[in-house]
Order: sequence, then C-alpha cells, then structure tokens
Amino acid sequence: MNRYFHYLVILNMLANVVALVPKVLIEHRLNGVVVSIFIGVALSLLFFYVFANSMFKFPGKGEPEIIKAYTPKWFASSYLFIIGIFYFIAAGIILLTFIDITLRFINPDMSSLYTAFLFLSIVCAGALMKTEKTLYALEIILVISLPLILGIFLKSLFNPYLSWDSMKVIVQHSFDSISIESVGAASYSFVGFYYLAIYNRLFTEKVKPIKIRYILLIGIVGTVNIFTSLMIPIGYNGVDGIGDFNYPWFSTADAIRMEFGFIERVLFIFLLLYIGISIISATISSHTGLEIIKSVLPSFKWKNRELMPIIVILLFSMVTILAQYYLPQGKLYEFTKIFFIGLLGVGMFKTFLMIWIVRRAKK
Amino acid sequence: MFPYIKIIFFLVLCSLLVSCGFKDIDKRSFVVTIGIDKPENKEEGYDISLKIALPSSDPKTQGEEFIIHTETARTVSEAVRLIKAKSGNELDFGHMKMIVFGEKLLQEDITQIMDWFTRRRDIQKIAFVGSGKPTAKAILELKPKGERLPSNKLFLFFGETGTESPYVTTNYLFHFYRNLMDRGIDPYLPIIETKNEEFEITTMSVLKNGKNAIVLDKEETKTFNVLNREYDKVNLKIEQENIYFMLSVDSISAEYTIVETKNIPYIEYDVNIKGIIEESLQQLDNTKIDEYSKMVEDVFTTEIQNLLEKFQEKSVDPMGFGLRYRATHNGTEEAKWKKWQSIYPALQFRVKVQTDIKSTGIIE
Amino acid sequence: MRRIKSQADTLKQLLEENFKSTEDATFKTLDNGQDQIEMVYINTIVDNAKIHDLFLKPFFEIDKINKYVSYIKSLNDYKEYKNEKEAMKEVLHGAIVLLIEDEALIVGLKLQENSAVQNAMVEATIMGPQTALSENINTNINLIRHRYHVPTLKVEKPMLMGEKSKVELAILYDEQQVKPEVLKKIKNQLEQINEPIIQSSGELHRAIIQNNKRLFPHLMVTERPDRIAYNLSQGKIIIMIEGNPFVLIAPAVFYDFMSAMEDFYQPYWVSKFLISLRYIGLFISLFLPAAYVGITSFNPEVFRVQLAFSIAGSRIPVPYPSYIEVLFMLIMMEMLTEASIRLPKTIGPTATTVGGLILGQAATEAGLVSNIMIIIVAAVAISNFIIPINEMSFSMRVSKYLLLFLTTISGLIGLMIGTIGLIYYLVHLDSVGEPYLKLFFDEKKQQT
Repeated sequence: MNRYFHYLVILNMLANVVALVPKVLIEHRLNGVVVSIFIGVALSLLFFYVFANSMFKFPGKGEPEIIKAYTPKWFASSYLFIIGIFYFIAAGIILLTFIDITLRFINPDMSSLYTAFLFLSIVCAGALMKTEKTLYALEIILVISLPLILGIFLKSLFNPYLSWDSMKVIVQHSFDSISIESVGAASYSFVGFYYLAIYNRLFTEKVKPIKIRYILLIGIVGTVNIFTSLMIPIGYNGVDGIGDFNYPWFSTADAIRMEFGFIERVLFIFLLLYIGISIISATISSHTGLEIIKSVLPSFKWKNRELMPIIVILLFSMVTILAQYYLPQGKLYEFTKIFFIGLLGVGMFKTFLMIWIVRRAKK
Repeated sequence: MFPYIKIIFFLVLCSLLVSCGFKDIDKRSFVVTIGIDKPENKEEGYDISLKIALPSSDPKTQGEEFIIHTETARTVSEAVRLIKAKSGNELDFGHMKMIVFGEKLLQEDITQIMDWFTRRRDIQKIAFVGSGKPTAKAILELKPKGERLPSNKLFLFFGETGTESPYVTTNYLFHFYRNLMDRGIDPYLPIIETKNEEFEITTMSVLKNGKNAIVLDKEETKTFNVLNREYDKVNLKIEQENIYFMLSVDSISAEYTIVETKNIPYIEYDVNIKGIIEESLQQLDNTKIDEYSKMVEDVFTTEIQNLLEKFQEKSVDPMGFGLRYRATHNGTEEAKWKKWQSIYPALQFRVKVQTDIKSTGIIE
Repeated sequence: MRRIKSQADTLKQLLEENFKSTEDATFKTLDNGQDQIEMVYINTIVDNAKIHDLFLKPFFEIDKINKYVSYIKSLNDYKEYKNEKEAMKEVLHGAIVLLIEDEALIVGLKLQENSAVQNAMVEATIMGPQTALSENINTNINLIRHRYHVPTLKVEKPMLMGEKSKVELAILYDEQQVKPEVLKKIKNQLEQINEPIIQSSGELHRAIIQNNKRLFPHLMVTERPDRIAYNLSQGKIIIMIEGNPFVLIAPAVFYDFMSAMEDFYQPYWVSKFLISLRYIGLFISLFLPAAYVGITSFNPEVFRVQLAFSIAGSRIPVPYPSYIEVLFMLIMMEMLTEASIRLPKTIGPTATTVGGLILGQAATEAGLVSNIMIIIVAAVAISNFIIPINEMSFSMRVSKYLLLFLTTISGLIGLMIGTIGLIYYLVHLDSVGEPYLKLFFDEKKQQT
C-alpha cells in the first residue's frame, strides 16, 4: 500500500476537530452517541472497503475517467459535477470554521474578510498545484504536526483533572435514541478514502486489494480517534457544562498546561498546528473537487494557459467569502449537520455505483 | 509560476485589507490577578480589583512594581471598562493567572460572575482560583518579600513547579467551572489568608450551588487533598500515649465504589498507603512494624470517616460521589439525579486503610 | 590537391586579415633550405616554451617534408582541419596553425595560467579533502577522473558558451546512473541559452533555468571534487565551465543544499546531530524575527509570564513598534555581512567587531532597540551561516523578510500562512524535472 494513501486517511481523522464533528457528537451526548458512532464506523468502513478496492482495480485512473468510460454521458457529467461540489463544500466548511476559530482565539481584532482572504489565497494556490505536489505538501505538514498533535492528545489523557466519571455518564446513554446526525458526524473521520477519486491517478502500480485486516486497523484507529474527540472535552469541561462551548476542543486545549514546556499554554501550540491541518485539508479537498469539476467543464485557454481551473477556484473563493456573511456560526453548524447526513447518502450511492461499474468492467 | 507582479499585488492587497490588531507588548498592561469582592454598602454589583504589573526597563528590578485599580459596577465587564479608562495602556488579560473571590462574595451564588471568565477568549482556563480572606483586595495588595514578579508567589504556591504541600489545594478555572456546572460534584476553593505580610494557604472551602457551604480546617484540607488527588507528598502524624512518629508517604491510592444494597447503600473507600517513618521521638522497633501500621490505619481511617461524614452532613459533595452514581447507573439524568439526592443523606461510609511501612528510615 | 591548396591560402588570408593588427599574433615563416612552412598563432595563449621543441627542432632535423607532416599529425593535440571558421576559433583557443605546402595543420598548444588547484574556501570541512577545483577545465576533469574511476563516466564538450565569450563547457555524467530524460533536458536547455557573455557557473545557472526570476537555487554550485564525485555516483549531471572553480550539479533538490560533505566523514550519530542542528538553524533564522513581532505585538500571552515581562520591560525605552526595531537590526546585520565579504581579509574582522559589538551595545543604550532584540538578531545571523550551501542561505535570508512582512500585518496567523506558503512554493518547484522538496527522498521503491 502506498504511504500517501495512509496520509489521506489520517488527514480527515485530524481535521474532524475543526469540522465541527465533536460539536455535533457532544450535542447528542445523551442520545445514544456511542452506538451512533459504532454504526457510523461500520457503515463508513463498508464504504471504504468497496470504494477503495474498486478504485484500486483501475490503477492510474481517477474517478472521472472511470465514470465517463462506463456510464452514459449525461449521467457522468451531472454526477461528477455534484460530487465535485461536495468536495468544495467540505473544504468550505473547514475554512469557514477555522476562520471563525482564528478570529475568536488568536486575533479578534483582525477583519474577517482579510482572514478569509489570507486563508483562501493559500488554499487556492495549493489547489492549483499539480496533484502529486499537493501530496508532498500534505506529507510534510503531517510529519511535522502529527507527533505534536498526538502528544497533546496523550498529554490531555494523563491529566489528574480529567474527570473519567463525566465520560462514563455518556456511556450510560449508549442505547438511547440514535440520531442520524451523529452517525454522519462519526463517519466524517473516515471519509479520507474519497480523495482516491483523484489521487488514484498517481497510484499507477497495480496493488493488491485492501485486506479486511487493514480495514479493521483503520476502524480501530478511527474509533479511538472519534472517542477522543468526543470524550476528552467532556472529561475536561463536564458532562453538563460542555454544551455551552462552541469549539469544545479548543476550549479543552486551553485547559491543558505544560508546566515545563517552552510555551505554557497548550492552546497556542494546538491552534498553530491546526492552522496547518485545516489549510492542507481544505487544499486537498478543493484540489480533488477542482480536478473532478475540471473534467466535466470545457477547457478554456487564453495565451496558452488553462483558465478554467482558475475560474472555478475563484468562484469557490467568492462563495466562501459570501458564505462568511450569510452563514453565521449557528447556521453553518446546521448546514454542516445536513452535510454530514448528505455524506452518508453519497457514500451509499457511490458504493452501489462502484460495485456496478466493477461488474461492467469485468464483462 | 510566481512572477513578481503577483507577489507585489498580493502584498499590496494584504496591506490594504489589514485592519489593526497590532499592539506592542509595552503598550499593554498585563493584569496578573483579579480580585472580586462584595461592595460594603451596596446590595448589588461587585468590587473588581485588577492587579496590573508594571514592567521596568531595568532587568534587576523588573516587575516588582504593580498598581491596583478597583471599581464598583453591576457586572465585571462594566468594571473592567471603567478601569480601562484609568489605565493608559490596553489591558491584557492573557497573563491573568490568578482569580481571587472575596470571602464575603461567596455568601451568594457566584455562578453568574463565572460567565465572564468562561466567555472571554483571552482568559486562561488554567488560571488558578482561590478565595481571599478577609477580602480579595487584601490578597492583591499584599507584597511579600522576595517577589520578583507581582503575584509570582501565589503562582509558585499553586503551580506544581514551586512548593508542594498537602495543605495547598490547587484548583484551576476550568475545573472549578466544570464542578460548578456538573450535577453530582461540588467545587472547592483554597482559602488564601494574609499573616505577617506573607500568604497562608492551608484551608479550603467547599461550595454548594455556587455558595460557600463549608470551610475545612487544616487537617481536613490535608485529608481531602490526599483523597481527592492521591497527593503523596504528605506526612501523617501518629501521636499516642508513649509513641510519636511521622510517616512520610511514598505513594497513596484511594478508590471508592458505591454499593447499593437493599436496605442501606454504602460507599466502600479503599486507601492504600506506602511510606517510611521519617521522624520519631522514641526508639522504634523494627519488628513492631505491623503494630505501627495498625496505628496509622486507625488514625487515618477516623480522619477520613470524619471528613466524609462532615460533607454528608452539610450535603456537599466535592469528591463527586453523585457524578460517580450518574456514571454507573442507567436511566435519564433527571431521574438519576433525584434518586441520588435521596440516597446521599442516608449513605454509609466504610473506609478501609491499608498501610505498608517499608522501613523505619535509615536508622532504627 | 587544388582544393586544399586554395583553402590553405584562404585561411592564411583570413588569419592575416584578422590578426595582423594584434600585437600578440605571430606569423612566422620557417625555411630549412628545402621547404617553407608558415606558423600562425597568438603567442599569449600558447605554450611558447614548447614551440621550439615540438615544431622548430624537428623541422630542421627531419629532411623530408612528408615525414614532418606525419610527425605533426602524430602529435597529441593535433586537430583535423575542418573549415576556416573552425580554424579561427581554434587559434583563439590557443592552437597553432601550420601551413605546409597545401595543407593546413592545427595543433592545440594551449597554455593556461589558472590551472593551480585552490583550497576549498566556500565549503570548508574540518576533515576530508581540503582542496577544491582549479579554474582550468581540463585540470578539473583530471581531478574528478582521479576520484571517480569508472568507465561509464562520460565527458562531453558539446559547445562553447556565449556568443562573445565562447568559453568551453563540459558535461560530465555517469552513463549508467544518469536518467536519460534529465540529460536530454539539460542539453536542450543548454542549447537554448542565448547570452553574449557567460563567465561563471552562477551566470550559467541563471541562463539554464528558463524562469529566471527565482528565489531558490535550482541547481547546485559547488567547488568540492568529492561532492562532485559523490553526485556523479548518484546519477547527477555536472556542468563545468572554463575559467571557473565552481561547477553546476543538476538536478539539485532541497536536501542537497542542506547537506555538507562532512556528513559522510563523521560518525553516524554525529552527522545526524549535525543535520538536525542545521534544520534547527534554518528554522531559527527563518522564523525568529517574524515570531518575535508576531508574539510581542499580537499575542504576548504565548510567552511565559516572566519572559513577557522582561520583554515588555526591555522594550519600554524603544520608541518604535517592534517590526521597525526588527527591520532596523536585521538590515544592520545584513550590511555587516555584506561589508565583511567585500572588505579585504585584513580589515574584515575589525569591521564585524566594530559593527557587531559596538553598534549592538550602543543601540540598546540609546534606546533604539531592546536587549532581547540584539539576542534575536545575533541568533538569526549565526544560525543562517549554519546552512552549508551559500546559495540556500542567501535564499533563506530573503525569505525571512517575506515572513516578517506577513507577520507584521497579520500576526501569528500570518506567520503560519507564510510558512505553509513557503512549503507550498518549495514543493511546487521542479529542478530539471525532479520535485524540489519531498520527504523521504532516498526511498528506492517509489510510486509517485
């Protein structure tokens, strides 16, 4: 298996903290969240298995090529267009949330338009790079931040002020009414494999299909990941008090103290690391979306330079900046919940589609 | 392709869009401690005192100086706004590491005032909280000897890098707020007193519904810290007719389970102590080590039993028995909470202390 | 016969036209009684001492002119006559033209005064080879051949560089290791160069890379023969240019610029330590000034409380905002660095002492900058020089100002965005088709 594939899978597990996953799960903390998580994990592992394995059957090919080859044209274009927009929405959610976080935690005096401009300029520049280059950037950022983020997670676990009893209260409500929102939120941590839609173009060598063992491993890592992102904020801020927090994880990071560290307040290390994670996550998502949408749009050249991607990415920036004004935090949160549910639907559809295509390809 | 034009364009655009957040460190006044008191002659509102450090350019006298501004207002933010008008620099709460509540303030519910602390982004959630006796302002005004930074002594008391004493109860803002909000666990505050121009932090108070419910004395505070945090840098004094020795504890583990029987539910509290004898007024006998252990167990069991029963009597629960009950039982939170409130007054405590004295020190 | 004869004549005519007016051109007619031959050469660039032994003596000793011709043809540096233009070029590169009867014979007899091997100055090592290259291309090839004894080592001298300078150029590569597409690309790019004068490797470097508005070096410039030999074995291509003790190595990626040859000469853990030291130095020199501005002016709560107070204290007398303070000191430091390069070696240390110590001390006392700032500038300056390849350290010196600018206008967010932007930019670059920045390079089994 290619190591870059692992990075793509890990990326979303880290990004879920920014993507409002903990907030959704915490909202449903007394509503059978534990079982919802397990359902979400099981479902997404199934999607994972089917989608990744079918993509690996077409080495060096992205989803647009495969879809175009095996489905009628009208279907391929409309399907790819919608899927592409989905990737852009994912990137947009991460960006909008993180812009809000930076404004709240790092610099409240900065104008939100300017912050959006800064983030978007870097994400757009990144999305326009060649596909393999985005992977190199991903690798560098992950290798730098992953150990530190894991360190913070571990540090937060071994704090005497962490209340295990508060977390156990959640477990008592495992079997209460299950909500589809938390199933969707739980599955978000796993959707890194969807990036294969484009990144499979780089994996040109024929690889063996993914083994069940690997899927199980991903499942365990992901489950631990989701439970940390749900439980630790509750352990620090209490089962009743946590509901008031907008960004549970960032408030939790502020409750961790490094007595002997270079910087005493863990919050700042956490924030700076997460700037990197959110930017690369938004870059990868929007790059995937861009490549997919590019494949259905006509090419448009001016002075020998392809302009279509630039137009698409500018459009994306415009929408993001507008959304900042028309989607305030509360509405964005509602929108994200709908997106999570939509993610489940798309996953279901994609799975059946891929099975059908693989069947057709065999004939 | 990154031609210059693009970069210059980008940079110019950046400069145009930027709005200010730029404020130099020397143009900020750092609040190190906040004190909140009840105003003497008013019914409503608070006396807010801010201790602001004044850095000096001479590294030798750096930060010894401070000023205290006090304002009375209905809310904290109002008072802060009034103080802002008095100070030439921008007030910066980023380094505020100590929050002191006046003793009188705790006679009323303080939940409302906590809102300001948790809402503000620039207030550290790892700030220490404490209760000032007689007033918070008195604590702020005290300037103990050898203090290189304003309030540094307090930080050393509470931060684990300085003194480690079983009498000092450390509590952080996030932890205090969590216990205040969660049902089934009550928050506590160390009480900071001034004596002979020095701080004395040996006692603590436990709050119930945001109000001061009970004040623990010195020994009770120690026992509480031993139980609650498994604090092992502690000495236990054994004093009987013809024997007097101090046990220096190496490690402590304290665990409890709530046992529900048909008639009377009880809490089984298991405490394991390992330690060595540090000081003795008599010749000790190595063979009698079991006897000494027994003495320690007896003394400590009564101490714990008394403390827990005292909590029960005042129906406060700083140990979080209620939360444990919620964590181990099924049902809706409301129902569990009601049930627990009926169980707690009748609860029995069965404390079991096991002591393992490893040696009598390096002499007999 | 007539054809050659006419060519010898036209050549003679051409040479006379071109060189008669030059003082250092020699036209000699030799006559031993039987035959007459003519010699044409430029005496300042040929080895005059050898002319007597090689040409004059045999001419008077060998009685038959045919024999003399075949003697000349057997000489080491004999070159076949192709056409007049070619012959003219040869004369300019230190060849002797002999016009014997109908034939024009060309013998190279170049004398170069720059073949002394120099000490390694730019990339000095403590252990390991102490000498660098010379300014003579042949001496350099000689040095490399002596370090790399492989039959597949190929030397090509495809062209002369520059319309006017016409300096010699050599490409060296190990045929077995080199990637053919990279070689082709390099040759292609060399052919497209269209500059009148090229005199140094740096200039050639600029000419090879088409997008010449670059911030980071795409090819490596080195003076160490051991590095060249090592890179040959790695399948890299060496481009040499006459009259320059530096060569170009292509392709070069980011890590090459962070490695010193010393790394191979030290024990494993020592060299790993040195490499990590270098990266720490890189980070310090890039981020420290920007982080100082970002933290002191935007988020002082990041510091520990004690440090925040001492910085606040030391900044009290400073009238300017932090970024002017930083810029002022950094630019003073850059001035010092530049000055000490240009100054003669004997004055250099004085300038640095005067500048560094006295300026720093006085600036703090005058209240222009804070104490902490002096420490930061010193740390930045020192850690910048830890980067082993000069070109990279220059690039990093420039990048640090970009980060500083972004941080000044947008705080720590700007610092992070700038850092990620730098990573993106480096990742986006290519060096002759090779990705410039990529982790875990030496992994053999790569798919992408």
